[in-house]
Amino acid sequence: MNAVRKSARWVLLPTLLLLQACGDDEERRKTYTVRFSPQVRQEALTCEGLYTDIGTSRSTLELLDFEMFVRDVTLVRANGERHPLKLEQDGQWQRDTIALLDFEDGTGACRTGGSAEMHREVVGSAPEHDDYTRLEFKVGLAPERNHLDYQVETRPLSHGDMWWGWQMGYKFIKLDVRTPANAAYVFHLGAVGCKGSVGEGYTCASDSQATILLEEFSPEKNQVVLDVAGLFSELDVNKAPNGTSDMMAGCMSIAGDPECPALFSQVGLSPDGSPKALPKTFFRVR
Amino acid sequence: MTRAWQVSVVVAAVAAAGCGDSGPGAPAPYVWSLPAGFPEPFVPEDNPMSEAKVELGRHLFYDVRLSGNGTMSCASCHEQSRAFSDGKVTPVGSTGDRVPRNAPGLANVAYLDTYTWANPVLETLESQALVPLFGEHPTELGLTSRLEEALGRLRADARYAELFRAAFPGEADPVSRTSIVKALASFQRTLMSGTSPYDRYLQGETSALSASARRGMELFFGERAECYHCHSGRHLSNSFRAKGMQRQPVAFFNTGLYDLNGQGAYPPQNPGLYEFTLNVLDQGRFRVPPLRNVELTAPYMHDGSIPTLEAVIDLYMAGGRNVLEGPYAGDGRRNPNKDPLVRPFELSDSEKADLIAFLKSLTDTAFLSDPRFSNPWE
Repeated sequence: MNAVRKSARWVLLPTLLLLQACGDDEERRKTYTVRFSPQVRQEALTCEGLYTDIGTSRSTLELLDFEMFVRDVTLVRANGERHPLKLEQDGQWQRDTIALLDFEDGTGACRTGGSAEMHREVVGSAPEHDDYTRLEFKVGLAPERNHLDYQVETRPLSHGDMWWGWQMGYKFIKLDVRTPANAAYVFHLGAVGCKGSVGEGYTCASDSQATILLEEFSPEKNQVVLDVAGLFSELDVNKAPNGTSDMMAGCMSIAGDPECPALFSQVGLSPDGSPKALPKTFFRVR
Repeated sequence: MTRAWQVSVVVAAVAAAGCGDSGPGAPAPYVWSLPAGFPEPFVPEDNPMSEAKVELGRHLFYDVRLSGNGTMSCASCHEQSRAFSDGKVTPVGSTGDRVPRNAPGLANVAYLDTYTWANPVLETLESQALVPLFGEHPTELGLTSRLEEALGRLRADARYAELFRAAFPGEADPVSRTSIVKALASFQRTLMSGTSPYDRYLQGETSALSASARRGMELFFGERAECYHCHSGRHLSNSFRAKGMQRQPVAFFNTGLYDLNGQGAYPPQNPGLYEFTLNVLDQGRFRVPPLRNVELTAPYMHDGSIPTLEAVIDLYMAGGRNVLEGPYAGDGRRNPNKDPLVRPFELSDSEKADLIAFLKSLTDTAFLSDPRFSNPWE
């Protein structure tokens, strides 16, 4: 890293001289950390908590698992200049422009299937400015990356929790909670209606690509809230599936699943997976 | 590790190419035991066959230690004596989840063009393996969150140390998810079944089929019953791929089992190909199962909802099924997406018996106890 930096500096010297002649300066880069905070309204969402007044039936809820892929995390200046974070390549959670966020720590209700490892922030560098006022990012993997290959061993794509073998792709959001009537009420966001092969490439009827734009966000002062009370605000999370028109508790991005439209809406997607206006109920700023 | 893996793959690929050279550690070129008239199957380039992989795969297939909680193996739902089906309507996974589709037999799976009942993206046995091993809804073997635990159990067994090292000689750490998937797929490719009375008849042994079975064969391949349009070729399924063949266009068919809403709806847990195309015309479309050993793979259809071969024939004679009551009531015979070849026809009782006799002539009794495919732990 240091050697690379020295080498880069040396190679850039003539360029810098040329730029000096033009009266310009190289932009200084700074490391920024974008923090994500899963919550239930104002309270932190953890594996040990029992949360009340969730959804239309005002149910209780416990967290079982919560993980999410984000990518192309971009800081936006007041003047509209957009600066994508160049992610720290940590060999574990962040690779290229993709970061895996893991919000469960394997304690309490997350013990079954959980692990102690957590990752609640995205770390990268961008030109240093003190007037970043908006944050933009995409939820999930780009279509060209959303191919499950059993030989992929590189983190974070090797993280089996986010595999969706049935669709030969990945889950973009995996949120599993427990309610009194449902041992697991889930929200699994992913591409649907996929066809193709590793050789030919896949096409999907819905790539489920959500872009999140948050206003009044400064990386130094603010965090992205993931408010689960907001996410489930229009649903009865304690409703058990009836086995005919509703086959599962929650949503696995299946067309015709009655819970999917309300959940897709919270991430800025229409039922068919196309973009729509993002409400400030699940994703918000604090 | 990555480098060693790459070298191993290159060496294996060179050996598989038959260049005549084989360095130390390279797997010997694989010699297939193919029944008469069977072509060599398609094998993906990244997982060339070897005896060592097959043997490792056989051990893994029968080992409950491969499941997350150590209670189920592949063989729990794929029993050799039932031609590797399980006799159940639909299986239950290792943690109690009901799996929505019937466990198929595995005879000649090497030749299928797609895997599981209606999934066009599972094109190899390797990609299919990820579903039972790592799927969560439903959980089958439940490895997702317990992979390291399962790998630890395998590593602790001295027999596995030998098997993995022999199968993946170039790997620094051969006990891995990737090698498990490759070994299981390699073993499954060897599950060849081709010595049934019908096979022997095709090889010229005219006395192998009874007179009744021969009449049934004429019905099967004739224009009245028309079974052969979908159940075609050597494996009696139009889903077929052999070495050198490219993948064929997707072929899934609606046999008129259901129509929940008068517009073609199937039960939501089994929508068929629709799940991948989101095209309502693809509701209820499923891949055609091969029929060898079909006598042993009851109950039938993707959801195991038809108990006997006689009842299957009754369905086809009726041109679909009219479900009179229950949550899936509706007249499948009128399903607008039903394949046009599924249309009513008449068979006398004796003709039905002949057709059944033919279907039973597809039973390969040697396959059911062949030690090459049996549980190595017993």
